[in-house]
Amino acid sequence: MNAKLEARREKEAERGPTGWGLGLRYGSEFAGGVLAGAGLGYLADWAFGWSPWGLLVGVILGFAAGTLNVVRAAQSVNNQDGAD
Amino acid sequence: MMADESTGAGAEYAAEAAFPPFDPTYFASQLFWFAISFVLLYVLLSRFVLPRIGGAIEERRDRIADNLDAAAEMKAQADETEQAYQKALADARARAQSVAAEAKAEADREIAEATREADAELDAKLAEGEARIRDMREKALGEVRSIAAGAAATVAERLAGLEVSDSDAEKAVDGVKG
Amino acid sequence: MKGPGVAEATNPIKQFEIHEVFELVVGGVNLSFTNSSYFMMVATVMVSGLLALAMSKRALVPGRAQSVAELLYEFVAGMIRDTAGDEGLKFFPFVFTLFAFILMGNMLGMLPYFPAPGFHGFTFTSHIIVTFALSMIVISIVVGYGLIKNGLGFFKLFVPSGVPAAIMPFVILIEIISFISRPVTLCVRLFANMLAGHILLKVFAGFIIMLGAAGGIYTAVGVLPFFMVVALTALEFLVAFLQAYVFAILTCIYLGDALHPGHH
Repeated sequence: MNAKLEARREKEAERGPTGWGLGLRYGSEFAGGVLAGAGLGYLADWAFGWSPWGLLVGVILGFAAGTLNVVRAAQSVNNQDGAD
Repeated sequence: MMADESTGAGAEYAAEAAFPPFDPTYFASQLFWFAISFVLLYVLLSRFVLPRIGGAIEERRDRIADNLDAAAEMKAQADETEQAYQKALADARARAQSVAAEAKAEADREIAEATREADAELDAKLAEGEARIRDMREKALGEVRSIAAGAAATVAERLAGLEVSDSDAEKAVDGVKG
Repeated sequence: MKGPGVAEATNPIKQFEIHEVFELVVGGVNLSFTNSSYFMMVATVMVSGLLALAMSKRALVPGRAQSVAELLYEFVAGMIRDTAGDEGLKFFPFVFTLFAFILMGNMLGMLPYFPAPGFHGFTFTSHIIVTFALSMIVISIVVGYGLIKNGLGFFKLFVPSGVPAAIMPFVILIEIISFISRPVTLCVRLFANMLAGHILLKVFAGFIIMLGAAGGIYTAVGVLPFFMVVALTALEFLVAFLQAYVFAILTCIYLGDALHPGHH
């Protein structure tokens, strides 16, 4: 029975992410980073009157954060492929 | 939270576009009813439904574990029984072998005795036979002597007219015979 | 079905419209019960009702319904164990609720003739405010629990090891933005997937109606988008499940971070 469960789990893992899903995942990770950076920058502009520098710097940092997100997501996807 | 405000800011310009998913008219309503239904679902699930499912799974797991234990115990018992059986079988076999060996020895002894008896009987019969043959030969030889003596006396009487007594004739025969 | 009728029937946005069922204004804020609220309530009732029904017998050897309920239970429990460890299981009811609510919301959206106010199917997960609320709950729990459990140690999450001191502030800033982007990502992904899928479906379905209404050779060509819609519907069911799963598993990963902020 354990073997059966194990086999089922393996099958579950084998199916893996589809290309569509993967693309959407990376895309949303990146977009999320940029959006969060922009939001923070906009907030800083609004709160401290740094306009337009807050938004500018925020978006640039957001790009960096988005890239970091994508790298982490890719790592976790690869790890899953390697581990299971 | 910061994100709260940013969405609030986003909502302001979304108001101009009539795209329903961004239409802030019903944001408050959706949040309100979302909170109600989500909390209700959480309470229902965590209080009543999930413990029930978890309990059923747990119960089955326990039962299976118990059954496995029982099965292991039964198997141990069966092993024990089998061992005992094997031992009994081996004993029986050994006993059977010893009995067989004994029987064989007995049979051998009996055969040997019978052979010896038969041999002895045969020897006795042989000896008796031989004795009888010897007797008969002697007797026959004795008769031959008297016949020869008679014949000699008869021959002497016919040829020489001599009257030979039986004892003389026998003496002569004995002399010839040497 | 020509003229405004066709436009009405093929409008891909109409399915996201909200209709009030009864009005409720509290302190100037519109809290009306709408078709969106209706579907949320239906999701709640159906998830708890179906699961309770499936477990009503609570047999040792499960029937079909009970097997499904237990499979779902084990599925979510396994997901938490794999990503956040056994410690994460204390959040099991929360993650299960999240998963079931989103899954049911997505699936209800796939039933176009489900009886509802406004006379059209509705997917509450295609409204950004709902997905936003979902992700805010998740991130509030992650931050709140992380702070309670680890105190200031929770902020180690933002300080990666082995980075030169010179660029540390920069990196920390990026890490913070990356962390803030998590609920945004969570929220936007679910919302965008459901929205895009439903719009796409409706657009192709609209092609069928337009081609069908055009008559003649066009009606025959209308078969093509029909097959497209069939394929897309199948894909949408997959997406409906996948997005609920992704939302739940990312929640687990973030909860895992709150439990062990050091391991990054």
